[in-house]
Amino acid sequence: MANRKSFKAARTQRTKKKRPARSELHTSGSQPIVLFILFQLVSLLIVMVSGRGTAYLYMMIPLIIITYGGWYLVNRVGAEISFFINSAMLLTFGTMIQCMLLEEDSIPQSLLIIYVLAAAAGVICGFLYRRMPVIASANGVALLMLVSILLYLATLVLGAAVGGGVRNWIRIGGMSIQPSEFNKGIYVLVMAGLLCTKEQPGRKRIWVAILFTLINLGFLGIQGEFGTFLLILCTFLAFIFLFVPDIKVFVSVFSILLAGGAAITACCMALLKVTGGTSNFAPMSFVLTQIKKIANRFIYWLDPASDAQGAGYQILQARKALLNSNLFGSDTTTPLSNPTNDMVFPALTERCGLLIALTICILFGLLLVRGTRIYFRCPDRYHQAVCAGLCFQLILQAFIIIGGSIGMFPLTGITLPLISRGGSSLMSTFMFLSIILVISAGNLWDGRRDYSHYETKLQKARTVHTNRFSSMRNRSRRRTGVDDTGKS
Amino acid sequence: MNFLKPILIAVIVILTVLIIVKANSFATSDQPSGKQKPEKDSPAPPHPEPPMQTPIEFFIVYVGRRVPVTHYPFTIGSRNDNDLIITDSTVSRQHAELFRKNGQVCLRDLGSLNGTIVNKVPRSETPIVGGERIQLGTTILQIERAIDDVSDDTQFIRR
Repeated sequence: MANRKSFKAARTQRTKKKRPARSELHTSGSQPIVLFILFQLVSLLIVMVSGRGTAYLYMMIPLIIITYGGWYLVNRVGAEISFFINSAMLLTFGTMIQCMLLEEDSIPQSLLIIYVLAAAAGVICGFLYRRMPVIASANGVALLMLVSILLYLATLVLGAAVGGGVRNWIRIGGMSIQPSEFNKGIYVLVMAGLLCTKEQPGRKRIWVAILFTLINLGFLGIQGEFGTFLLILCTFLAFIFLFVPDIKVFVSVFSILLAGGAAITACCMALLKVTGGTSNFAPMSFVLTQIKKIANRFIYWLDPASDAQGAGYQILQARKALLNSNLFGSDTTTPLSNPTNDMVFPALTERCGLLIALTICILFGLLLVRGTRIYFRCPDRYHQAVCAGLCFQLILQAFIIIGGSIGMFPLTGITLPLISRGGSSLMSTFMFLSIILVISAGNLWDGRRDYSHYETKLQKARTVHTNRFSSMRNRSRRRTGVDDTGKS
Repeated sequence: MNFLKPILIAVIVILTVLIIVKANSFATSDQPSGKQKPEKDSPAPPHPEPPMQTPIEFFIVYVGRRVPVTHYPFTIGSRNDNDLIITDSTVSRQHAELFRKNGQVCLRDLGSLNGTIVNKVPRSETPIVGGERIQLGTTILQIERAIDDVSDDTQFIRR
């Protein structure tokens, strides 16, 4: 017994000695990784208790590869680890709720494919962003604009409605993707390239930016995708506010938008009243249906009970789900329309409880804080702009859909990033996150292009030369004792 | 089963909060022990010890003297309150200054009469890397980057 006791004491002593050593090493988070493994195990237990354990076990494979592989990569390139941890936690919560929403406890093949594709897209996108300074040049921006417009045109021509009513999907080889998700990212890159590659964006560049925004908004309006419409509009305002130094431009653009919005609303109301909502002329009837769609959003947001079986059904069911929930999650399952995508927040609140819902909101807030820190630390203006735009879009998207599903705003159909199931949404979110992480790692190419390439080269050559020269001279001076370094 | 779920959810929420606190290290107590973190964290927030001596990066060579740039902004002009005083009638009272911008040292003209010419090109604001030849009025200054192996040199002198 005594022997064993002494052994135990020795062991405890050894561990006590080891602990400070480990904290000295401090490989940027040995404690968080243990906590994170525990966290994922507990999430597995929760899903098992809910009866979807097998599905989640299969989902753990890509999830573990994404989280720990991503952790390794992030540490390797020296990116901001806390931003990554926050998003990895959100992804774990997302996988958890997606598995709980499955109809049967089997291998979720489509989810697996989505995760693998999204992870691959994220890694490739990060590498490409590191290696391709072309996207900031004038030609690169023009190319990106062309790609974006082509994507919109393809959506219009080949577009098909999958599931819901909006024609914004393209089918490629058995998969359907939603190009507007990628257009958001391209929009940010184009705006950054237009406004932030010079010290002061010229008048022409601002006009091109406004024109490109209008083209985006026009296409989105024709497709009837008003969530992304709102997102692009807010991103545009943020860019004008942050990156056009003259505040007058922002004020004038904002006031014009307000006035224009009011005028368009009044016109639409008048049109609806005059025509009575129907018209024989084809483009006119198309415009009328779009107007009615937006009007319905507002009407049923204010009073969903007036059409409880039709347009207000979604909102009423979401409210019911929220009312059924308690702090730690209830056993009731309110039937929601599209619970894996748009209505994921009420579904999550009902199944996992208010505490987890609150945690997710806090995590999105932390992402914003971290993104802001990356934005302030970034030395280059172009990368700053890209980081700000992407981060702002992610958080705004979360804000709009959470607010919409709990009844703060009129409901628009966009996905909750990292938690909703949407394949192309998850893919584009991973791309955005990897770009932000690459930016936070620093050591990137110069985004500024307003000094000529030749001059910088010349200056570098001169520096090397004078360095050698002056160091030799200093040496000789110090030897003779004539050192007037501190005397001036 | 029914009583297990709330407990597990409470546990996961506690774990999340713990990870948030650990990962987002708002309290920066354990940072001196880290090797990577201080490097990453140092540029943005103001340092807790402002009187820390920053190593001298640049020297300005003026009529054979090497003037160290000890602090930023470092003003150059003909008036007495400048950091580098140049007695030349073509140099303005407040002519130019060296300052830090995004971690980079830049030279800015303070609205001088005769302008600031860097490497034979008139500039109002330009980043400084070392080795530039600056002309203020008729005075010519050379900027030198401080060499890195100063410690070796001092050892040499002691001997």
